[in-house]
Amino acid sequence: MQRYGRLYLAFAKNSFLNALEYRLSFTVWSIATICYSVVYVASIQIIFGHVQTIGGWRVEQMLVLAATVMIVDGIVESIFGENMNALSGLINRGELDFVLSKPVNTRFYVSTRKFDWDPLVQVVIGGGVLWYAIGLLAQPVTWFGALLYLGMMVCACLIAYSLWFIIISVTFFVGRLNNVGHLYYNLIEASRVPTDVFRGALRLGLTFVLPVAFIAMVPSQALMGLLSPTFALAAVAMTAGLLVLSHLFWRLALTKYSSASS
Amino acid sequence: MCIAAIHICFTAPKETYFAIMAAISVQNLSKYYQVHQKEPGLVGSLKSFVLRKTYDVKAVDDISFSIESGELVGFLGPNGAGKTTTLKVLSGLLYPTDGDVSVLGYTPWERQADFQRRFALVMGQKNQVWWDLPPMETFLINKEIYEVPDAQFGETLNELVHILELEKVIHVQARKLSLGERMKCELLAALLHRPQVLFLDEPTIGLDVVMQQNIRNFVREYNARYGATVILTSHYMRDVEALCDRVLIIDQGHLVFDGDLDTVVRRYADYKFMTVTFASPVAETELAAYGSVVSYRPRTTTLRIARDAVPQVSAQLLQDYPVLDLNIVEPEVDEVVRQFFSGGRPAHAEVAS
Repeated sequence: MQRYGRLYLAFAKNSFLNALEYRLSFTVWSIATICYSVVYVASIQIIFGHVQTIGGWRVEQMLVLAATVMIVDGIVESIFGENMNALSGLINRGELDFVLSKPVNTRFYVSTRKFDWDPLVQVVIGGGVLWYAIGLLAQPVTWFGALLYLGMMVCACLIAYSLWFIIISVTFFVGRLNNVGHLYYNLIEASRVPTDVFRGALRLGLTFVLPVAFIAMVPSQALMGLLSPTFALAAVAMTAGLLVLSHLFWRLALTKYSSASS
Repeated sequence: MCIAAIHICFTAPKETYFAIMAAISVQNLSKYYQVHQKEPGLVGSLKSFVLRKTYDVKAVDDISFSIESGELVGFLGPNGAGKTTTLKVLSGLLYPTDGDVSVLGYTPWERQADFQRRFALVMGQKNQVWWDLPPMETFLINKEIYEVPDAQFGETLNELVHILELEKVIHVQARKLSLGERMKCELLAALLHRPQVLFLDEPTIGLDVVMQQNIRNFVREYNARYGATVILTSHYMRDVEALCDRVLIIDQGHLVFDGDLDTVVRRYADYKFMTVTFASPVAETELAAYGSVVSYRPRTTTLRIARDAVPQVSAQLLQDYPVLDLNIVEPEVDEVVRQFFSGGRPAHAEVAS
């Protein structure tokens, strides 16, 4: 465990050095993220200039949701994003050979090798939006609500990571999947809308089949004191389930690895 | 009765002894890949989409060999012969279809950490050194992965940096290094944990002659200094010739030769080259009677002569012409092996008259 802590520190240090090599990248990414966030928040404000609620959600609640998506997505992309995008290439080009021949947990290595500092900008902006939105809430946030929010955020990040990891692992079976990573971004897009807006089968599907609801809506409800204990438990169960599932999937996928020709 | 009993007592421990001594032991190893085949054209593609016809490619087919600790062995063979597949099975990257493999007493594809700490794999075509950072950062990551103690890390690093002459290079961004420098860094990164077994897959590919020589010298030195067992695959015959006493020749998944390089030449090239310098010009047509003319100039000519006929032909030449110099050489290993793989197994020499 301690060893993996040291290894992670070494990875993070290398990634930081890497980021410093490309100063402009960080600046450009920051500007892009700021623009995107402004448009996103403004579009919410515009819609709520015409309606009072959407599916029972008021404007300040929607802003909490928006902030939560930004933070979860920012964290997941920082820790796992570059690795997930690189993994499909590692498999396709057979560069996984090096990883597999080393005395290190393969999943840990391929998931955490590169820490991307750029998306952290999004986390900072999301934090600002969250702070602003909390000020507008009718009910003040309780300590319990804040703690539950943090817990649900951890679940949300792990769920998003597991889903992304499973999607990428499919590459093992087929050798190559173009742009398969985009499925993750679609998932994040879908989570920008509270699942409560939908009805019937679609709502169930977005909760339990593609667990979009747990990525942003469930944490937001936790913060606002609107989350039922059942859903809190469901989030924990869903996280555990997906972690186990992605692990089994990875194990199966590794036996299919045929290593590209050299 | 008595003799039989003694015989049994004697052989049993001897076999065990050999089993312990071999660093690498491969028994009846086979690795088949399943590939699918499709008929050409759209209809063929649709057919193959619905019902896929698959067949097995026998990348490695029933290979057995054993390598002693400290040996430096070369794998030779044309592209697609099964060299790299064999190395990948030995490194635990691929599960074999059939057969038993033991490397340092471990089964490679179980991927035990203890085993992985004892070997290293270097591939000339793939890099593990971080592209955007100086190689030193990759070395530090490997130090953590292989849990190399600080003191040993410093010592090994200094030693290897010195031998490989990398002093000025390890703090420069890897993508700014030349191919040769990067390859040396790849070697260094793979050797920091002082592996007892080293698999080198085409380590000199794309390098210039001087750099190839450097890498060769280094591999020899590492082998000698640490007593490491090394398997080397290469397209460049020179690599194998310079480094390995023993070669395994693999062709179409089969092991076709296992022995020392000299034997390859003696067995498969039943001819020698004889270069003769005459005091006065001699016509080409005249010389053709002694052997096939490889290169001709009026005063200096190279002939190809059957191995058995060499003494007799040289005596005859000395008798028939005023000879200033006569030089007999074995054919280049390179050429012998090339002929070996291009169609007819043993390279047949023209019959000298």
